[in-house]
Amino acid sequence: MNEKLRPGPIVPPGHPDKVAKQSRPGWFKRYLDRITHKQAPIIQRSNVIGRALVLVTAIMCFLASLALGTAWAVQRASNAWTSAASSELTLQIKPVEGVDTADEVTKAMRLLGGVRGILRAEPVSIEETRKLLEPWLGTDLNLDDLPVPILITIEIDTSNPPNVQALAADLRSAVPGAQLDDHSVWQGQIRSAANWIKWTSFLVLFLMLLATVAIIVFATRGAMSSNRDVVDVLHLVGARDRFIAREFESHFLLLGLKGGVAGGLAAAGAFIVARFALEEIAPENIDGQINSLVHAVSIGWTGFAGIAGIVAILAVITSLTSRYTIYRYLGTQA
Amino acid sequence: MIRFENVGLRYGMGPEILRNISFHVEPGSFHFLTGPSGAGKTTLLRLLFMALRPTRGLINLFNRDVATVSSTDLPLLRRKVGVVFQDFRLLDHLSTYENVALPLRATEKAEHRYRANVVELLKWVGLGDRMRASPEILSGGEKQRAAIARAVVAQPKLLLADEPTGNVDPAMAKRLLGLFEELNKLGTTVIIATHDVGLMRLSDAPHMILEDGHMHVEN
Repeated sequence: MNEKLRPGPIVPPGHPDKVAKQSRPGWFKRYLDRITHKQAPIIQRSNVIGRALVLVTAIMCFLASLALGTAWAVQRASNAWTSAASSELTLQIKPVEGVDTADEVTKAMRLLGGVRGILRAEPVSIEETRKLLEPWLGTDLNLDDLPVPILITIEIDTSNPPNVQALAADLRSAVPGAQLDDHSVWQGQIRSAANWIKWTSFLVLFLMLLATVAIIVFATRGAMSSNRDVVDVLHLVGARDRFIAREFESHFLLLGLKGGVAGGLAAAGAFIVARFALEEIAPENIDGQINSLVHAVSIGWTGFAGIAGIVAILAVITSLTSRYTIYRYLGTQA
Repeated sequence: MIRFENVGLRYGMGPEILRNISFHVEPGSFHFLTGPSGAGKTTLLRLLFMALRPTRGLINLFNRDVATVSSTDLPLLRRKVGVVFQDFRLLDHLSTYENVALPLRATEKAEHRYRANVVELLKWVGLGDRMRASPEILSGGEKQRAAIARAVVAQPKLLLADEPTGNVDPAMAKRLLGLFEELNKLGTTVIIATHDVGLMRLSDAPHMILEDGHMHVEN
């Protein structure tokens, strides 16, 4: 072995004469070289901090995706409900003593038939009224004994709606006991509740991203401390801070992506399971509102794109936070 | 190339380790830095590779006052200095090849531009068949040679070695000295910190002797 050490008459490595003789390899050779001679990362990839960070990022991404999905589902359900409600009016004709309710219904139908912007008006049949009241009053219900109001559902042309206030006034003067409901109070309550849930979800999302930043800061500091020797050696061989930062940053970007993709896939799976579960538990002849909710939980491609966005945001946050922390650390080392 | 003028250094509020150190090193020269243990040899080397700043005095390296070097320029200045550490400071999670190539990798050059040179250098120092080995499984002498290869791979203008023969037998020490002299003949300024009298006898290079924080030079 000692013989090998004897400095012979060779041209020293990297000597200008020797470098000049080297020709630059072609792009294919360079690519082949890169994939066949891949150098190990300067920062050690697998350690406890790395695995813990992947797990935490996965959990954060999962919860953030659920928060975003919940906000989105609630908004979609609210839109579907209010949209359906805004295309309908309900006319209630209460029984008035000494007045034949059937005549009142005929009068109201005649009046509604002459109003522009009304597509259809139809009284709710006795049978349908009985079904509506069944959950509260039971199956042996005799409506003849009860002063049950008659309901008329009115479908309006949303692109050319009638003047609801004028129509209500006309109905009140023509038909005593008539009360027109445009569902605006109910729609307002639905919108208000949906907005409250939506903004709460966004707040939860924001807090989770903030917590992620804090975790990344601690993890980066930990990684820097455990790689102090590596950082020292890199400094002493003339590495710039940006080179060192990039080595750590790519390490954390990879960890963030791993955790984010795992959490995102879990969230997407959770939404798919929730969709099927809702379909399973819903009655076979599900009504409009339940149908809207099931439809809202089905996140579709837009929802998957949203989850992918969360994964990307988390990866970028991980990368930027680690970069900022590294530069601060290196600044204090100088 | 190197000029020290009345340089003093103390750690914190402790006593001065180095006192009024003044010397001048010409480009292309070869020096031994010697003195008893604890005299401050390693501290002086740390000043030379800019890991420490003096408490007082002037240090001029490559015609630059190190006190005025910005943090942006510091890496560029350090690239002109190759260092062989007493404890080698090889990174165990990298292969011998990757350790030796580290100074070139840190300059952000593409690997294909330096691989052939690194491989040849490893063969030159007798580690051609240990390139993919982890430093953990190298012998003391092999680690020493890997550390020397890393120090010279970027063709530094100044090579500093801290007890480079501390872990090898006399025959190997002689071979390593030959290697340093060969590099010196190619124009690299070499300073070897050692208290190995036997090694110093093998060369007629001047001795910079550190004693009680002071320095004097013997030719």
